[in-house]
Amino acid sequence: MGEFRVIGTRVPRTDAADKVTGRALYTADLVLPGMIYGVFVRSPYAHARIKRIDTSKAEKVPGVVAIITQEQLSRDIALVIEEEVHSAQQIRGLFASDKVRYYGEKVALVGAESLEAAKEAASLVEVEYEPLPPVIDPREAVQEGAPLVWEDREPVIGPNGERLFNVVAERHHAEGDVEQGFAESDYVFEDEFYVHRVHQSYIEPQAAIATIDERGKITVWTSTQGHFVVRSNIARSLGIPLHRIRVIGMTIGGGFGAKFGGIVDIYAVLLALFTRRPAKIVYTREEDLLDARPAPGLYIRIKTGVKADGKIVARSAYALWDVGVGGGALWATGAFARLYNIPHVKWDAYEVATNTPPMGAYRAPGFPQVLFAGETQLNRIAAELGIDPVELRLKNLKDEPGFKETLLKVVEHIDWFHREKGENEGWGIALGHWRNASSPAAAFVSVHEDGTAKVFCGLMDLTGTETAVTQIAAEALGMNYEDVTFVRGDTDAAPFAPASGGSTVTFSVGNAVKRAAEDALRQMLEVAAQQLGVSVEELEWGNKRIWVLGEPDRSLSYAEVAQAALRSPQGPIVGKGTFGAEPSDTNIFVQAVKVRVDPETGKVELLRSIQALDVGCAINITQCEGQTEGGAVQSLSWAMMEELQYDQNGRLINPTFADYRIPTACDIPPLETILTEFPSRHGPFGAKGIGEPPITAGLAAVASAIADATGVWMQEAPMTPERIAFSILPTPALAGEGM
Amino acid sequence: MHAFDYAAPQRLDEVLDILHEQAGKAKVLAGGTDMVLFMERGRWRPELVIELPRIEPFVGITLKDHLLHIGSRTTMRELETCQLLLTHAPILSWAASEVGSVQIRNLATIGGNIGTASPAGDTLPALLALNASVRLQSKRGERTLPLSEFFVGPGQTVLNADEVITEVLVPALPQRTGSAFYKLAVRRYMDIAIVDVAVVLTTNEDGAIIDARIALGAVAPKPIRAYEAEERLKGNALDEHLAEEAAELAQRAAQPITDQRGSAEYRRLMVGRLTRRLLREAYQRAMSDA
Repeated sequence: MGEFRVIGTRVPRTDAADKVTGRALYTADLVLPGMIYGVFVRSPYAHARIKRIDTSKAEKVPGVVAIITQEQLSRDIALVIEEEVHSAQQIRGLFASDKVRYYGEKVALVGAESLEAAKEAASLVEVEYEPLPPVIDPREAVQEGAPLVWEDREPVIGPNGERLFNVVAERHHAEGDVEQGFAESDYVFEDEFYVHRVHQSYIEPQAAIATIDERGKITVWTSTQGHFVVRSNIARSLGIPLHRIRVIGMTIGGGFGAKFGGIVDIYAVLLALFTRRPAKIVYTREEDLLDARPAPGLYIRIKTGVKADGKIVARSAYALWDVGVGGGALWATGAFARLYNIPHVKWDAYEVATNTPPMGAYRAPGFPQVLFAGETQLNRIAAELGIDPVELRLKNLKDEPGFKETLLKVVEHIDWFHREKGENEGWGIALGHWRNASSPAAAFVSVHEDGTAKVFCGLMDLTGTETAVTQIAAEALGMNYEDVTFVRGDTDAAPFAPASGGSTVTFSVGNAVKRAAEDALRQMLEVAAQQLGVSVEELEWGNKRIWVLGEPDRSLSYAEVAQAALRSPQGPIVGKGTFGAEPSDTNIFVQAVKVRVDPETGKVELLRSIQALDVGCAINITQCEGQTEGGAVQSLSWAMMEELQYDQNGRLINPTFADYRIPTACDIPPLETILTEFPSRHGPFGAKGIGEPPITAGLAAVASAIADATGVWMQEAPMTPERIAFSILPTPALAGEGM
Repeated sequence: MHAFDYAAPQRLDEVLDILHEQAGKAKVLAGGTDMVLFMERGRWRPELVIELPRIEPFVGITLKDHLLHIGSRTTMRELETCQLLLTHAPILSWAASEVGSVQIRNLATIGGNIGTASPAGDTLPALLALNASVRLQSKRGERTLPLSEFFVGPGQTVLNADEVITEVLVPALPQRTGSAFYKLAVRRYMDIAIVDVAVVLTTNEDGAIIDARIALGAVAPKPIRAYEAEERLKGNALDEHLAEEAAELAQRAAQPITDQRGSAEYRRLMVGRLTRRLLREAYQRAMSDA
């Protein structure tokens, strides 16, 4: 790949200067004339019947413009949320009406001239509740007698004929015959794992501003991963045609799956519709932790049959996804079986409703939870059989490009088979994976009269993808990175773009941009052929020039060609590229960690983290490393400290970043990152989607390292000091340790 | 946040005058790292905020007759980096270094940590173990109280509405004294303690403990001393058995609750194990402190 000029470099991001200088505009930065502020009234109960809502006191607060409850909405209006990653659709009331089903659920929305007045009024809305017993744990929710989150749900029949309550969806999968597989196995291992719900913890809370003009045109400025999906959700929720909604995606301060809309944007529109004034809603951190779309929790029982030599014969899983009052988790369940040759596979997965917020996507949705179980168990099997965990994997890994090679890169980097550890130290290694989404996308590439170019499309840049597709365009055009400008269009301006999630952008939009650039280049070649009096086949191009094959003196600069195009029947050089449902590839991720455990306190110190990802082709090396490290850190954080803690009444007891912890730099060891490049046959220049896989292996790597250090296999995440301390046998015991 | 008046007196007597006139309606502002949050959340709604001046006695760390005088407005960062403290009362520096981040420590003050009276205030067990006192001044006069008598409960102290903490007085550690401090939290920094333990031991030439103080944070409604454990240690050289016994007595002194940071059971377990560990550490240091 040595012939690339822009691909595989470390060019600075297109948005770097704006972000470093503070010039980048976020939604909360915008203030419109006459704007009102929206503040929600939220449920103080996880489960209760609403007896009465009295807004009379709140209405008297000076500055209050509107108070909206479900009662004021027509029957046609409902919250419709479509998530690209889950391909899931949820329809609910915009506000709780008869019942509240989670702590912090929206009951009413107050709009006022000032944020202070809106807060004051919201605190004065009187809601009379009849508290009901909530159900928080999916393991309890499926039991007979558990409070029903949705009263009209009938129980479903589980794999052993048992009745499972509060199940909102299920999916089953079987290859071969697992029972036969277990019978043929020398050893069968069965383990349970439990993963608590976590929040995506993006730094910028949810925010949106909406206006409506006198012709009924709605404009929305918002922090989103996809302005087209926001447009579609607003249209379907409120019954407004798409052409009357314009969504402008602002600079985004992180999303990780939780910014597909439906949390604040529709409500800002509603407030604008009710008041005919610009309306702004910006979540506080507490609101975001209470009422956004955290990842689903998971209870999973996983069973694996192996031969004495470590060959996997059969694997099955029984999964209860804690989806809160939402859904869309099931499909990830099969992730435990994807990487290995396993003759017999079966899984039964259920989405269980609990009195907690609706689930949403979080980076590689569901995979970290499932692979925590699958990969940790494989390491336990390796330990029990006395086989090295790497050997066990090499025996079973599928023969797909990059799988073994990427694992062996990590082995080589660490010198795994001669790894050293001190007292209370341990090593863990685990694999992860993802197959990037392949999404409909379109782009235009125009060549200016001076031979520079612009890329125009509607992608929302979360991770540096504007930079990546700019590099792709520059490479395809034979230009320098600095010659190409990226222009993001809103939903009125740009052609359709997919939401940025599921590792889709560089792959899908990248392909569309590459095709648009190739189309523009083809047009330039045709103009040049005409100008030079040769056929297109006789032309060579590169470095912003086109010349006749073997006669470099007979040449035109891109500027000359672009100008000639304007004077010719061709007209301006505008290339168009589209991409649709086309194949993509699974890429492998490997993470190894070394830890030191304080056996008395249960505190884990991360000493090393080595992660390797097959990126297919590193469009921008710095950004590929950044993505790999970011995902790895999020998984370490999940492994060690992240948990939305609901008490027995369903109240979130840690709704702040003081108590909902994400790590600081002091908690994370130096990150040793390796990129491998096994080109995709489908991605632009061989690139694969890389956003998701780096979060998929860390939980299992940490659990296995703790086991290597202590002999204790943790089966609940996060693996907090307390959980570890209580899992380790108290030796030497204090007299008072019998408790 | 509610609307309030703001005063920035430049002299101690002005501070005391204003406090006297506005008693009950005013709150004293030092670093503001707790206060601003309390006001934002509506927990405190003072009509007047009085910012303390950066003058003596509110600032400065001095050693006079084996007593460290620490101005109440001294920042955590100053405590953390003060050579005088590192020599004469190192656990206070260590404890201060565990508070928040450098940015927070550049603002947060020792007087603020004491005044907030959080059961989990990190410097408080260190100060208790150091046998610190607070000097409280008002227009009516002044009094000096052992810190152990200052706290009443979470956020509650014996400070009168017209009083201000002007100084913290910490006896310099005598010879053959060893101390140790540990903050147990999930995150390395920027976290609130699950348990804080501070230990100070003084031995005689034969290695017998002649003075012992053990203080615990985040395991009772206020930071506490484990007096029975201290008494058990006195007159003896530390061995495994004694460390064990004292640790168990310290566990009995703790009255932890279960909250989002840890269960009561875990906290109690940790009080025991950490006390045992810190006793060993402090004893070793005392023995090597000739």
